[in-house]
Amino acid sequence: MLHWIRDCAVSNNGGTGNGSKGESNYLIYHFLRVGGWEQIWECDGEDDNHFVDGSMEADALTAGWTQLGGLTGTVKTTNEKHMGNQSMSYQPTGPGENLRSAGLTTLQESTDYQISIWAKAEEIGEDFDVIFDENGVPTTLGTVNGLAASGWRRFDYSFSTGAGVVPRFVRFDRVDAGGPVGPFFIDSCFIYESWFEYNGVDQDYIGTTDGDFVAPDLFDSTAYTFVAGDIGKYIATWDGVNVGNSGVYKIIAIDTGRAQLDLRAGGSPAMTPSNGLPWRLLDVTAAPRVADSVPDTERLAGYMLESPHSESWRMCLRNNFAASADQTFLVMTCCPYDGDFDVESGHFYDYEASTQDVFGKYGKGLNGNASDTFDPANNKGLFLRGYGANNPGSGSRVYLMTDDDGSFVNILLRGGAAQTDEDITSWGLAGFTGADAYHTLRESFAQFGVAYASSALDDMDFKTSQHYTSTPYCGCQVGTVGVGWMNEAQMMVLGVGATSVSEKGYSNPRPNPFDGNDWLRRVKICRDYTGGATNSPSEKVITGWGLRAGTRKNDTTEMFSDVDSGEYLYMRMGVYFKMPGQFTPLT
Amino acid sequence: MGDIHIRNVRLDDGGSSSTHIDRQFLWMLWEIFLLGRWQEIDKTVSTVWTDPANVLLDKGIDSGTADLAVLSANSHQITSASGGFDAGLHEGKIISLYATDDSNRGMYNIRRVIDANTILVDVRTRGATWVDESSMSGRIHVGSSGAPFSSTEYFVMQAPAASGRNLQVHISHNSTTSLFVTGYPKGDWLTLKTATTTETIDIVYNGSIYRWNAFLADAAASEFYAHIYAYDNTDIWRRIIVGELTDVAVGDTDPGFVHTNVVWSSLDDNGEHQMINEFDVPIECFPAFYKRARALDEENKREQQLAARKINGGLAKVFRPIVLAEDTADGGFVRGNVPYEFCNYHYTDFDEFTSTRWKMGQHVVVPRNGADDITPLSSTAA
Repeated sequence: MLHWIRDCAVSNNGGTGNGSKGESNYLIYHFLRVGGWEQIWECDGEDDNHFVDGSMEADALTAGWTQLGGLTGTVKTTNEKHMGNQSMSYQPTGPGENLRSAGLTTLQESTDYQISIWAKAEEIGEDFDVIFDENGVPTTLGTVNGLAASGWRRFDYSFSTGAGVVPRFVRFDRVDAGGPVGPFFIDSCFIYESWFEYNGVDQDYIGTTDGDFVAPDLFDSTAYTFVAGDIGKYIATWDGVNVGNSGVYKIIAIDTGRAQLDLRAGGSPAMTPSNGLPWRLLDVTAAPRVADSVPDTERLAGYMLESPHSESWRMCLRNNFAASADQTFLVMTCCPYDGDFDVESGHFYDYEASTQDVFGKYGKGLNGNASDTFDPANNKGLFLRGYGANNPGSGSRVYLMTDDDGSFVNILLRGGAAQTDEDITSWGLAGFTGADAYHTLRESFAQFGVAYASSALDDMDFKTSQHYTSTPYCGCQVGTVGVGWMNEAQMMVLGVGATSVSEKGYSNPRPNPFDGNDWLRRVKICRDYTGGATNSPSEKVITGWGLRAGTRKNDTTEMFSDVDSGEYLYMRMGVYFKMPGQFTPLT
Repeated sequence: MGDIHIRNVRLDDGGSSSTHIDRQFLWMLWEIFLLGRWQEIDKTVSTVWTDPANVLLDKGIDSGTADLAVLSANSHQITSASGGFDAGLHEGKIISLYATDDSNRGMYNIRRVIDANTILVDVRTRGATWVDESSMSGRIHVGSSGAPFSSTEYFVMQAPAASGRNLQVHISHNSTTSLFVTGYPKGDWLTLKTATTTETIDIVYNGSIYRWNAFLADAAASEFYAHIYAYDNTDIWRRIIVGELTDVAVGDTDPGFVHTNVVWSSLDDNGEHQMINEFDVPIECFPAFYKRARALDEENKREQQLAARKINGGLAKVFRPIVLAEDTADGGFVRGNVPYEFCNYHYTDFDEFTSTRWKMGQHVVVPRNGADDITPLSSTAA
């Protein structure tokens, strides 16, 4: 079953040149979270995730860690690792034998932070405390306790910095719980100011059965009573039974303790009554902004989510900015399985398959500064670019499609309110396109976006000769296993004639006159079009994404119009998204 | 019922006159459609069709006894109890065998006349053994090279009755160097004559020898078409394809087309298929090719990519293109799929292709008539 964020309108929260990318990304994050995706990493925009050698990949221990109190024998080891090539082995034998990080970098004053530690501690009775040490004043955040046969576990804590530029550290302090001496293995340590998971979530009923839809447009909670102050906030919810109920909805009024939702549809729309839904109440004014006058810590924030899909594929969606009016964009990097990544950067390791194989790693602008101009040598990856900051104050309209088990994500951000704007769509999509006789499930994984940004061009525009600014042209797909990892891939369109005519360029496109239908067909993709270095060309159609190619309608007057009795929504350039048919789209 | 194949049938009409070749085409096309079980709807009243200078021996079609017989044990041999075979008159000529069994039914060159009751057909026109059959009708002929047409003859054929299809094709003499081919998708030649635009097929008049090939789909085939392709001694293949699109919309009841060409079709060259639209107005429709979703002037189409030659783990690529109606007010839509097959450009011509097809020029593959089928010859030598 498909699930949507269906035309959720969000305004930008200010900042010069804000194109609402950050606000949109925030809503996307929480929708996927209530849909069962797991947060496995976040970053703010500061370098190195505030640890030095939090990934434990530096060979020398002293690069990031100091043994205290007579502690010896702490080493980096390849025998145990969570991600990457090695972890840190910590084996205290006496009191005070503690580990201390190098000074934490670029922490802001008077700010809340989250810390994640991955540890393998399997000796009963051997524990260590996680300490935040600010200017010599320790605060115990929690305890990593030994637990037999527990494997790698994640420990999450939070702390707040005080005022001033003072030394700040993380310490691991041995706790004698009477057990045998045994090593702790520690890996994947990262600290972040949370712009997503722990930010603006006013009510959190994820993983519960608390929420209800009451027809036509009310959302009710068993445990929570909505109040007037909730007006203007958003509810993200997931309904695994009723098509079209899942989504992100703005609260427009309160009705006897229930939230009245903006259903963003014409006519007399109504939700299907439903009970037992997970949900979150979101204050989108807290969302990170991507804008000129906003510091890096906010405008370069991002996250990595792991899909509930059986392949546990991972998607990193991180805000980015480069100076000049239109350079606000999201960078989407995916791995078709639960591949290892560097917690200090969010980059997948090179030995994993990922978008990076074809389009490179997330980076900042010229000279490594987001405050500088866009630099293709640094600003790499696949983007949702499209609508930039041309119309500050007009916000975004968010569309997202996914399915029950998170096999794919299709995101479209529609900028502004005037459908005649040329640069209106930011479009990125990724996931499993469907196994067939010639492609394993993993080989069917593909991602599309744009790979270059020079000015605010519509990602859905197939006309440009600058092919890297067109989402359908710019993609990657898992190659033949053993031959290569991710290869270049493109969507294909129909061409006719010896020169330039194609169905996309038809000046007189119309529905099939014999049945009135728009002759929609599944999108066909090709991998390794020219038989490049990996030499694993293939073709297949995308199945299960609710995505169709077909008649190119009038891109000025017919965009976002109903097709086939509301079953599909015409987006642009002959691209159609399946929609829940009970809602009449707003134009 | 089954498909009808014709392979490498040579007709040398013995003359270099410019008045002959176009008429050879007309007569041979007529005969091939009849062998393919198409229905004769109309034709010029003329003695040429049955003139004894053209029909050298009639075995039960308009006269004579339908007693032609074949045996699987005697490959390439055809017998007639009533006799009449003559070495001097018939060797090198053509016999059309109107068998009931579709694997026997076809057209063959006579290699040798053994005696008055027995002939051998040329192995280049018949690869497989026979299926035992007797009491077949047929005729030995030389097309219309014995007694040529004048200049106005035509015929109209309709898809086999068993197909239930309305499609008719009208083929007529145009000039010494061309024929007209017109489709009547609604099958109304005798009444309203709702016609497609007429295709003109050019043929060489200063050469007098052709080798004929054809594939005529079984009446019950879902991919229904007739493809007739002939090689001349100027190294040109000339072809006519008549058929109906597949996967059309409900309500598109007459998706018939005609298409001619004197080169093997590149997917973007001379690809027009003449049809009619919902208003019974002629429109041109084109097999489309996939290309990367980039600038409209992307010419490096997928079906010419060497990398696409064997895709999906080494699979030789064969496909039936989507057909787009012309970019006019009367067109502008996807109509269906072509019923016959295309392949990637990068294969050697005439090679066996996936064991069930012959690769011809450019993107064209044709069905192979079983494992014993002979390579289509690009030679008119005897």
